[in-house]
Amino acid sequence: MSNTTPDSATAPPGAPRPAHPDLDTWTAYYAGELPEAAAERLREHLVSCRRCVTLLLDLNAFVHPGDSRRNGTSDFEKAAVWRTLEPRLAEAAAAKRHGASWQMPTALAASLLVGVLGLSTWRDQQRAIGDLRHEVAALSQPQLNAQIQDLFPASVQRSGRASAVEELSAARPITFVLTLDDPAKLPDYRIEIIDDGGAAVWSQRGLEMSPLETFELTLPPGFLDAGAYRLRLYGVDGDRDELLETYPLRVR
Amino acid sequence: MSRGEAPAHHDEPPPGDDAAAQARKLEIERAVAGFRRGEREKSFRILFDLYYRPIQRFFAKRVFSAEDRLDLTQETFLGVYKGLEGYRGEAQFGTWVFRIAYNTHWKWLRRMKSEEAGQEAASPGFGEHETGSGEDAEPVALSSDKDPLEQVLQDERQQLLRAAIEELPEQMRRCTELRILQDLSYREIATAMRLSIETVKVHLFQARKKLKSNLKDSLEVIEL
Repeated sequence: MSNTTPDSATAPPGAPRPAHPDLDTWTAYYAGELPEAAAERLREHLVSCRRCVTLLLDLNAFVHPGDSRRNGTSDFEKAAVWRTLEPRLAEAAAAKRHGASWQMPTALAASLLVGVLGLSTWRDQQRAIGDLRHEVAALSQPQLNAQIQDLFPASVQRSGRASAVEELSAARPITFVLTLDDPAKLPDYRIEIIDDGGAAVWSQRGLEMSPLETFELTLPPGFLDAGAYRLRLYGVDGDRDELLETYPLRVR
Repeated sequence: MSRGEAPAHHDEPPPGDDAAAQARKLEIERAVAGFRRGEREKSFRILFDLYYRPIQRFFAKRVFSAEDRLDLTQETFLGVYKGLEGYRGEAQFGTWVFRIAYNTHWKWLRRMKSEEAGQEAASPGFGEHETGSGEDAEPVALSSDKDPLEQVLQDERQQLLRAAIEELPEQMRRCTELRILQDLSYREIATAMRLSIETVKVHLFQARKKLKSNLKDSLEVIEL
């Protein structure tokens, strides 16, 4: 069994440090999925490890939850937690709806754009193409005085390690360097820009963690109107999106 | 070492109460299905009611600050809410929720550690937070308020008891050690050892007989 973590708390002075099996091992043990020899080693570990016994008993309490409607849990306390939790659930649900509804108008807008282009005059098309060429040419040139901005998570800012809000100009490209307080290696990452009203402005998967455990995101000029935004960084693992950090942002 | 009746520490239905466990399982499955159908609030409220206590107790054992416990409880439920649509039933639902609570706690510990950099922090092991609850204390606590002679005698008795326990058959020994050294209830021993509660009772009954026989007058009556 190689999945172990060291523990110093239970080691007697001078003794080699024992190791705790990890959560996956315990869940497999609990589910009866381990070979008997491995299960026997774990049983022996439990005899001398209160910590792992506690973990296992807690796991059991989750697999066989009592009903807190009937088991004496303080209704007042539980109701208070629910009251605080409810708006956050609503916010999470709204964010999900916005995420889904944002994709549909975008597809619709793309279709409309094709239609509009098809109906527009040759002259309009030429002007549009000219503007695009100009923009592409501008973007192809080296950028002087590029805006590069480190963004720190909201959680860190509360402890005073960064300014509360960044002031940036939308007229020029902006590259954000997103720092994480607690970098977690996940198969994929997604970035989402939320406006002041909580609506998703833009969202994209495929963000990659740099060797410095940061993320970089460049916005083209004029991508965001002036206003307050939040950048949300999600870790994506299979079908699950987990919010890793939120970055407050103000564009002038 | 005198002991009273085994305390019922857990909320799970006692082994044999299959009907209650099945009903609970069905309730969870219906709530998860209801959530996916769009009855989010009603379904999630059912899951909240079911998992509030395990989650709250999980953090109560590991996090000292009431405010942090509240935050972590909410974060866990929020994680469940956000992940529920993606839950495919690969693991038991309770195991899946437990993993979210465990990871929430682990991430919080890491954040605390990074914020407290520079301060000497206790090692969290694999995610357990030291709360001063004595979880990791040496299993046998020796009394310190006795006179020296009494202390020596007690030390000797402890050594004799330990030696006698070591002589027991393996499974019986483990059950006995968990009972004596970790003060677990029969049901907790059954859960930890993956045995039926009846088997645990038999092991402890036989262990008591063997220990009495082996130790004879060396020890007071041991009640397991």
